[in-house]
Amino acid sequence: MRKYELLLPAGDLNRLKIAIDYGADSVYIGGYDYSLRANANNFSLSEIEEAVKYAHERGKKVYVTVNMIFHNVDLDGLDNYLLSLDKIGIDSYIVCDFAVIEAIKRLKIKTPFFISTQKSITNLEAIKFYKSLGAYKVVLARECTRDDIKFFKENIDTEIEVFIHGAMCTSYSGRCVMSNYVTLRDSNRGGCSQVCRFTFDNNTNHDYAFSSKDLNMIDYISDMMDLGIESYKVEGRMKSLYYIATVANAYRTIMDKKINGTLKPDDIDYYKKVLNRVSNRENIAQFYNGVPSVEGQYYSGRQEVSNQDFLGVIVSYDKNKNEAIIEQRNKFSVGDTIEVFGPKTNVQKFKIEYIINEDNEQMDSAIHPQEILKINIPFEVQKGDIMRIQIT
Amino acid sequence: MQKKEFLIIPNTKDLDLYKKYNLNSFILPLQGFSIGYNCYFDIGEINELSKQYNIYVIVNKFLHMTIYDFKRIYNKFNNKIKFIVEDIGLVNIIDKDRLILYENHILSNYKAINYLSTLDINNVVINNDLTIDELKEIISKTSSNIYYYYVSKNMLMYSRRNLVKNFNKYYELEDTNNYLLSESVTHKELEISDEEVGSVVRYHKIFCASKYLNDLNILNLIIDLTNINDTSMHMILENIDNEKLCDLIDSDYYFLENDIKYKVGDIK
Repeated sequence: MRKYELLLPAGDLNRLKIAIDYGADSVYIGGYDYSLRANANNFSLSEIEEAVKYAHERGKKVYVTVNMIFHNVDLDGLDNYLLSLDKIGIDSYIVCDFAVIEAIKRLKIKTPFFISTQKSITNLEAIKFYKSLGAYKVVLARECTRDDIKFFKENIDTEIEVFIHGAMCTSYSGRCVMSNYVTLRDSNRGGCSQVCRFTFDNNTNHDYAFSSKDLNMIDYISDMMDLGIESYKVEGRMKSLYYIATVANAYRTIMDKKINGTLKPDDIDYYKKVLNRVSNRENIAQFYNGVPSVEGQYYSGRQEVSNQDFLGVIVSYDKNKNEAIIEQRNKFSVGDTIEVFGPKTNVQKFKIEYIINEDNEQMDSAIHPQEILKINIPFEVQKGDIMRIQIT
Repeated sequence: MQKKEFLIIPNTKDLDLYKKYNLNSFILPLQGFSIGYNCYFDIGEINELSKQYNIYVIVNKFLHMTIYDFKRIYNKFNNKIKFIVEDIGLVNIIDKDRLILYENHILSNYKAINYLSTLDINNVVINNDLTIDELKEIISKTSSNIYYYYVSKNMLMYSRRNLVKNFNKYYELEDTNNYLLSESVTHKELEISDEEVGSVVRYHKIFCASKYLNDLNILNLIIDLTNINDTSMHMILENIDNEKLCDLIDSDYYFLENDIKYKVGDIK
């Protein structure tokens, strides 16, 4: 395992494979029960087994979230679930409720556990407390600043995991039940309806909104690695395959360049553009340099924008013809300059010279999602590589 | 388990106003370490009041580095005073017999409570979004000293951001530190207030569990008067032992009687 872990989310097996193929050192997933994303597809036990096999064959790890807040009724079946995950050979449980820690210890389970961000750990004394319970790592509250983290790393050997990318709660995590009261869905058992992204009347001339912009730490990854943070976590178990591939590739590239001493400002600038485009909200570094002011939030309701950057997936490549068969995702046309990237393909650009459909007809544009097409690509690409618009 | 005790979180610093109700136990928000209350007390005031009353101090902020500011003042408190704390790091600082762990909305099952007890954390505040059946099961399967928000405008969210100040600044509005928010579809109302160190949202309706007082009176019952108007406050304090209290004020106890759904497929 690398010293610096890039940890990606996966809502299903396909996403897990993409995350691993595109650079994740570890992936976190949820089972059908006991995790905090009830709306994600999540994994059955047999799928978790397949996920662990896929990851371990590639030297990667799988963490399973068992991080919801348990009510009495939820305790039934917990022991068997934890034992099943242990038997499968997952690499760690991500936990929040003391009932889960109790069960892991009572059952003498060898699989280690670490503490979810739901516990909103903000200081060294809290880390010491969870270390004393047996946690080898803690996920910090997203509200921690650089100074907080620096102090932790200088004073304790417990591994630190921080979020580096994705959506933010407006509240300290775990301490919000607005979803419960406004929509009767339990936020702490995976049903969060994101009430913080609703708009409200507050008796002014403006709708009241207080949702957070997203987190993006691309500017600070190098600094964070210098601090010695072990694990770099991306949020988003419900995100698309394209999002996961893009974000994994971006941070993998930046972290590898930092490690081998080749990281340049241009790299940061380029991947910042990539990440800005793939996100459907604006993103900033949030609390890293202190509590964000006006710039950290939205004030007029939901601000998500759709993204049509994902143009297609490589199905196969003919080296002799310099031609690829691809599956279309979004519109592109002859004359467009586009980019390809993949697990073994560095980001490269080329110009579309022709598009041929399955009836062998020349097309000016590819407009049908999932249509199988032939296009020219002047360099070798691999099955599964991703085509996207040129990032400028 | 201790016998019932009513604990009051006041909405004014003048505790003499509560004398006529024969209340002797108060939970006082600590200046600089608490958030979301109508009034705060400094250490001198708290120690002085502890000569007359049973005093608990509530520290409900996540403390970050200020945990060490608390550590520096901890020994200056009268040693009769107990502490209700949100930040679990304080477990390493406060003596266990003076500590009441209050992870807001988190502590929701009997096994978690019993596990904490093995760590000598025997005083806990439990979630008050639980059903009465869940509460009864917890009471029957634990021996810890449990505290419960019995009457309160429940605190639903706590942010480190200045959610009111930022809104006002964005729209160049006059300074206010609070709004009543109304959601257009559900018409649910929330109270948001801003302080220097962050913001909190409280539910506009008063949670009141009086209907089940006989089942709950083995617990230490917290009455949080924050944001409650004078009329309701007097009604609450005059009827503190009355099972009908919930009918005398504009109250809501939905979660006491209804399981909450948490998977979309469960919502019919």
